[in-house]
This record gives sequence, C-alpha cells and structure tokens, in this order.
Amino acid sequence: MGNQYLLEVNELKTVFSSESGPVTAVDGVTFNVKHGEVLGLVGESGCGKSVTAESIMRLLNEKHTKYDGEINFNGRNLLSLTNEEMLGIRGNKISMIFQDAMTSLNPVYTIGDQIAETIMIHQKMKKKEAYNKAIDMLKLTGIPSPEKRIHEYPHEISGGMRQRVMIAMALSCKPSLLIADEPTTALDVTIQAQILDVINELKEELNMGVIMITHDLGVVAEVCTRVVVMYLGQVIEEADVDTLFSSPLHPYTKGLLKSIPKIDGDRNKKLHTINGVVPSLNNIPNGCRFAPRCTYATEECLNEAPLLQVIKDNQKVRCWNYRQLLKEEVQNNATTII
Amino acid sequence: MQPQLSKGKEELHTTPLLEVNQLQKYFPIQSPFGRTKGYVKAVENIEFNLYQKKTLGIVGESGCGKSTTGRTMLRLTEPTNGTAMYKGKDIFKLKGKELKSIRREMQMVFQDPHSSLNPKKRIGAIIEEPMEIHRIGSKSERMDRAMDLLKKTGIREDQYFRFPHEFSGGQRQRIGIARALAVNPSIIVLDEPVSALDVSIQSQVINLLEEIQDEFNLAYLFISHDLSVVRHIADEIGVMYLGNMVEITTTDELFTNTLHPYTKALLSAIPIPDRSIKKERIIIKGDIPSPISPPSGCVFHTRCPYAIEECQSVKPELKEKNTGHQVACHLYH
Repeated sequence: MGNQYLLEVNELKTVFSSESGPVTAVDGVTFNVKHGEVLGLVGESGCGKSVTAESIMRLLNEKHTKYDGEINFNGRNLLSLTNEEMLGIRGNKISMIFQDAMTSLNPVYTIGDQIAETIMIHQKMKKKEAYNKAIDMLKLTGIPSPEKRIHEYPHEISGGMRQRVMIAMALSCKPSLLIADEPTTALDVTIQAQILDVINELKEELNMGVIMITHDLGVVAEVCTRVVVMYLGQVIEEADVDTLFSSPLHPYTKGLLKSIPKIDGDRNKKLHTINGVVPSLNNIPNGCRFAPRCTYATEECLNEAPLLQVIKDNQKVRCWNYRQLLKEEVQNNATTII
Repeated sequence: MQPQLSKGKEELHTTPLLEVNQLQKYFPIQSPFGRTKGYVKAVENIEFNLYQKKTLGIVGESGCGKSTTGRTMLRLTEPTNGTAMYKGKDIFKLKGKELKSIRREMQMVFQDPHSSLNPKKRIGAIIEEPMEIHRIGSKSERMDRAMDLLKKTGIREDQYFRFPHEFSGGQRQRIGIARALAVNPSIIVLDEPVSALDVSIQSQVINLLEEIQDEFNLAYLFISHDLSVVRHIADEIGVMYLGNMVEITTTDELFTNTLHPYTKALLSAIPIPDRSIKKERIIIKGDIPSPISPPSGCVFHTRCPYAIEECQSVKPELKEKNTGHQVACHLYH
C-alpha cells in the first residue's frame, strides 16, 4: 500500500497570518499522485491551487505560515523536515515550473549557468560534465542548436524557448515529481501545443508523476489523467479525466464546463453563467462554500458543510445534492440514446 | 455536425460603418542619440469593414499587431499610412474639434480592469468623466445616466460612490463597459476584454456585451487571442499574423471551410475541454519571427508546412477565394 503512491497529501491545511487575523488558504486538501500520471489541479483564482503546490515545495515564508496535516513523499512527511533536509529534495526529487518564465529565470546568468548550477549542487558533477548534461537536457526539450543556446541570456530567447529552458532545468536531476504551475498560461496557443507535447513525452520517458495546475479546462482535457477541482481552499470533486468531462457531479464543476464557449457550440445560445463571484477568504460562507452561488442549493446546504465522499471508483464529490445531478445525467443519456 | 442557423449567415452587404484601407503602422527604433535605426513593422497592410450592430473579431498571437490595429482606430497611436472612412470622413486626417467629436462615437474597453480605472476616483465620477469632456447634459442628468448605466451593466446603484479597488475584476470590467457606453458611441473597440477574467466571470461579461450590443446598436471590433470566445461573439473574423491579415470571412465559413494554413494550425492548437472530440493536431514549428525584419514573401512561409518556392519570394495578396471569403495564400490563387 505504502508504495502505490508517489505523493500523498493528507488533510493539508495552510494558514497565513494577516493583519485581519489568520486566513486559511488551503483547508483540508487530500489527494494522491501515482507514478507516471498527470494530476490536474483546477480552479479559479484564489481557490488555493498554487498555495497547495507551494506548500508541497515548502516555498512559503514560514514566519507567517502554519501548516497542518501531512504531505508524504517517499515515506517521509515533508512538513516535518528541516530546511536543510528540504534543500536536498527541492529541485532534486521534486521540481517545479512556474507560469512566468521571464521572471523565474535569473537575467544576469546565461541559460547554461543556470541549468548547470542545479546539476552541480544535486548531482555533485564537475562543471564540464554539468554543462554537457545541460546541453543534453536542452536537446530533450526540443531546443535547436543547444550548444550555442547555453551561452545566451534569458532576454535573448523567446517566451516559448524560456519555458523549455525552465522545463530542462526542472528535469535535469530526473525528479520523480514535477509540479507545473500554469506552465502555458502566458504562451500563445501554437506554442502552448508545443510545450504540452514536450511535457507529455518527457513524463513517459522519465516515468514521473506530474501535478498540472491550471485554470484552463482545455489543457486538462489534453494532458491530464486525473483531475482535482478546488473551490475556496477545498477539494470539491475528484475524478478521472473522462468521468469529469462526461459526468461531473458537483454543480460547480458542471457550471464551469458549461460556461466555456465551445468551439462547436450553438452560437445563438447565451452562455451559461454561474451567479455571483467567489467570496473572499475572510468571509467564508457557512455550510457548503459554493451554496450561495449554487442553483441546486437547499436549506441543508446553507447550514451544514458537506464532506468529500466517494461516489464510485475514482470519483469523489463534496455535495449534498449529487444524487440529483446523477439522476439528470442518466436522463440526459437516455434521451441521447433514444 | 448539424447545419447552424446563426448570426453569421445574415447578409452583410449593407454599407459599412467604418471602412479601413491599407492601414500601416511602423514604430521607429531609435539609437541613444535619436537616430532611427530601423522599424518595428507592427501592422503592414490591413483592410476591413465594420458594419452596424455587427461584431468583427480579430484574432492572432501576441505581437501580430491586433492591439495596434485597434488603438489606431481611436488615434491612440498614430498610423503610418492608410485611411479609415467613418461617415464620409477619414478618421486618420481629422484634427482638433472634429477628432474630438469622432472620439465621442468610438470608445474602447481595455484588457486589464485593474489598471484602466483611475484608483483615486469614485466609479460614478469615472463613468461621468467622458460625458463631462464632451459636455453632455447637466450635472444631474449625467448622474442619472451614470446610475442608469451602472444598473444596466449589473452593478448596484448604491455602489456609485465606491472606489475601483472595492470591486472584483469582473465588476471592474463592467464599470469599464459602462464608461464606454456613457457617451452613446456607435463603435466600441474591445481589446481582450475577457482575457483577464476567470471562466465563470468571463461568460457573464460576454453575455452582457451581447445584450448591450442589441440595446445600444453597437458595432464591436473585438480583439482577442481566444478563438472559442471570438467564435461565440463575432459575425466576421479576421486572422492576423505578423502585421498582416491572412484570412477574413464570416465566422461560420471560417470554421467550416478553413483555408489558410496558419488558421488551420491555430484552430487545431486550441485545447478543447471535451474528451469526446478527438482531433488531429497540426503543430507548427518554431516561433513567430521578429517584426523588425519579417520574412520575405509570405510572412508565414518560415513556419508553414505547405510552403512552396513561390512563397519565399512573392508576397500573396489578400484576395477573394469564395464569396465573402478572403485569403492571402499562394495555394489558393
């Protein structure tokens, strides 16, 4: 059992101290990542998806942050490690790529210096070996003439190239887990397609687990195998990717999927909308957090918070009324069959 | 797919409200001593027509010149060359009073709702400012209209005295739209109006834009990089690449009968949030070349999978292939 999962996040809670009191950005998040799978972490801004990733990497300023729960990686709880112990894991066993490659790369060092630095620190290689490894990594991510590129500075290359450099750097120590935080959001669609392909290929080649954080459900459909949907610091639904797109059971997931303009949808129809806006973390609703915006909400939803419950293999949902959604799904399918 | 009866199929051959021809914009690159070293050729040669109550979508990747095109319409940047005929006058030649009166009829909504509203002003004053500038109505009339617009765009009237920071991104975008409507324009240039918004908010704003288009008889120039959004809202779509319009036609025609190789690649690259649709992806190699020294011949030939010898030397013209479907590609002419 212990070896089945690469990463087990168990009831993770991340609390920031702020002037107006503690703010719980992540509130009891639980999920697992297996070897060789791409787990999508989806949600709108402020839902806590990036904070979850940063908690796994322990990147947050720990003066102002309190953690609770467990993050088990290779049989060790990352939250109980010292900073020195984390240094051996960060960038080595677990790597991360960020949204904005321009600000994540150091502008005063060449690309080669930056990739080789990671390799020299973690793999104890000599400078020359490390540079050769850097060239190999750049080649792997599909950068043309990498021997020349390693002497260039980040400002000399395009956005898509920079993201490839970030990927090369993240993968240079062959991590077993890669966290990609909106890796293609800042890129154009044609470049996005290239980068997603690179991630997909390398995942198979290196058999690593990937956590893909994104707000773009199109990207999810394209690369993820399993999806965790977050809303206001909580997981509200988890399912494998086909189930999530064919029969979502949380009203929020369903609403999100319906409100995206489809490339083959009816253009005369109005777009579906979810009422209202995401509430502030200082002002979390009682009961179900989504209830004030939910069309299915009942008295129960407003007063009592539902738990994340297992519905069927590989689908979990946090909703009192999922049976009704399930019923609608069955009816819809029946009409399409007829 | 089922045949669709949609807004794109209506006849578009009325007189255009705005007629843009041979639009060109070069930004000079200056050395530290002020000598011009070269030019960024942001917009090379663009032409399009905008019709009353219709939406023209302009799509393309970053750096293709779509925003520059939008900004020159309001003379926020001065075009290098070209004409834009509106009500018998060339917008690019107007000065002083005449320019001011034209600007009253054209308004703009910007991408970033956080930086396009003055943080020191109350939202009521923000919406009234364009009316003050154009001397419309008395003070109380302006206030009434601002209240009215707030209500129409889905903001409560009692929030009139609030500041922009008290609103969320989606609400701020609504305030930006209310401000654009204040002077009763006939054309609104929308530069990526929903790109900065979350999915659930994005659909609310798109619906609002469609409602007010009918109510205020507006023509939209809708600039976006998101093809699914543009497809939903636009009647006609122009695809831009490196300062050139490569294909322009009605929305349905563009999606059912895609001609230009770049448009094809762009369409195939969009990730679709539906697992039941399987599609073949055309991945185009490389990056967009620099607009400082664009490729010779067809600007797309360096990345085009179908490029022939002619493409390297001869620049294809934007010509009609089918009725109402113009494309700039040697494969079709």
